Amino acid sequence: MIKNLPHDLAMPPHRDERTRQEFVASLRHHVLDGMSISMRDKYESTVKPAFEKTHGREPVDGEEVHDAMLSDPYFCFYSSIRYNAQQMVHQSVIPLVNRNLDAINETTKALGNNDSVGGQLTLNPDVDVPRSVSSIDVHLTPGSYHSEYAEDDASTGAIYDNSINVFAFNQMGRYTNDIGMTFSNFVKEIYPDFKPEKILDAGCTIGHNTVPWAQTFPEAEVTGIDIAPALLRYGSARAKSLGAAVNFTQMDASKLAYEDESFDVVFSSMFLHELPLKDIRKYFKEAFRVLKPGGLFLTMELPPNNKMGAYESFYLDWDCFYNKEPYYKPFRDQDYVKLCTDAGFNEEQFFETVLPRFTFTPHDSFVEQAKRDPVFDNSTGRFSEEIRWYGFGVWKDA
Amino acid sequence: MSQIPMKHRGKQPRFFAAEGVDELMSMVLELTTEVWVVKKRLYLLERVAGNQGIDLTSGIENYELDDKEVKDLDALRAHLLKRILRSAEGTYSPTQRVKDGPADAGQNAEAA
Repeated sequence: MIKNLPHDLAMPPHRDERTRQEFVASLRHHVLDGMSISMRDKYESTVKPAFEKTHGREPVDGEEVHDAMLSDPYFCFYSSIRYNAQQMVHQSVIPLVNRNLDAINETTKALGNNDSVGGQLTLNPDVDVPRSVSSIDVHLTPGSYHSEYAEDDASTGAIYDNSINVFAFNQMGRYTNDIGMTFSNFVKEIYPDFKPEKILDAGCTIGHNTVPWAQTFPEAEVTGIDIAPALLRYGSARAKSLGAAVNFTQMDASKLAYEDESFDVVFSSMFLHELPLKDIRKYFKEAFRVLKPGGLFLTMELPPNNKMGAYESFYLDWDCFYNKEPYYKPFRDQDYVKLCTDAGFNEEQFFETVLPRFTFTPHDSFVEQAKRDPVFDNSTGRFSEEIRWYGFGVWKDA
Repeated sequence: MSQIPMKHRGKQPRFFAAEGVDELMSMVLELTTEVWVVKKRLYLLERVAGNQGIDLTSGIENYELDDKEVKDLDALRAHLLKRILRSAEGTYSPTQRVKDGPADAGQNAEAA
């Protein structure tokens, strides 16, 4: 069941629109939690033995598995349904946003003018939209994330928020904020003596995973940055509607306009895999620069290919080939430790974690699991009812 | 104010070697969506009518179709099948296939 968005920007759909949204959510659940299991069985029982017969060995990486799977009919059906479902997510919300565009923009403006909650919206028209966003309809999103369709427009924010509500088929929590909840609470529970005062979330989109930082660390000043003004307008209004004081600032993560040593935490989630490698490297250097000594650079992402088996690498890299996310695999092929040390961080301060979903897990169990060494398996980063989020962090030397 | 586009830019991937199967998959999934939309609406129609004192559910279950209605519906169904399957005409014989279906469906299809 798909519920209305839990804040004042919710635009209830017509009955048939809601039914379409629910159908698409079911379709995604069917593909990702059902067909994906059968596809793995098919690989083990048919595709892999055939590969071994021809090559005299197992596939060594995701690319070899992908090549072997391309001619398998089950993979073709899986991919076709998943690709269509992704398009249908957007098609199930865009008519609703188109119809309510004036109301969404008026509500965004009214909420934005409410100063009682705190948090500033700062737009900067001089920020260039990188080609990696403007030239690609990322996630098959028509018009990508930077487009604006009216004055002071928030529509791409509304599309993003409504889409992720369908896309997640309820697996990211009522506020689609489980990633932010999981990682902010990981920091709070595992490092209880660390009291961050300033927290940055890079590539925050509508701030659904930024707001949890303000809720987990209410004393801290929390800022989300993104290059897309419509996402930021919407995100700021959304945060205010939820009573969270969060700054939203238009800024490119690879060119941070902050002073050296000004943040205690630099966080991002599901962000790096959308960036060209050169921008990832710039962002890491900028994060190192703006972090205070003893500060934490924390990244929630997809796990690296060098930690995953050949099949899991192939499975997770699907989006790179079929979901308009061309930088996805090049990022996952990196050595994440080396990305950090190249930016100035100390390898000894690096850690990885694989976490259960905070909003789906009893508190004591979450803390107990968060203390464990990371386990890389079929549920690490694979979007499903069993997903466990991957992250890595590195402390800047004090 | 411009309209938000409905379709993404760029090349569409092709998953099937045979021409047209990718498009067919999209059609099937869209069609299935709309079938579900109609099914859910019918469900709601029965519930809303029930709440207003009209028991459509048992009314539908117990409704006795007369001979003319049976023939008319058979014809409509056969016509629907003929329309949906028209692209496959010539690849098999419809008269052989309808043996598995209602006895008079083929005749009514001809009549329709």
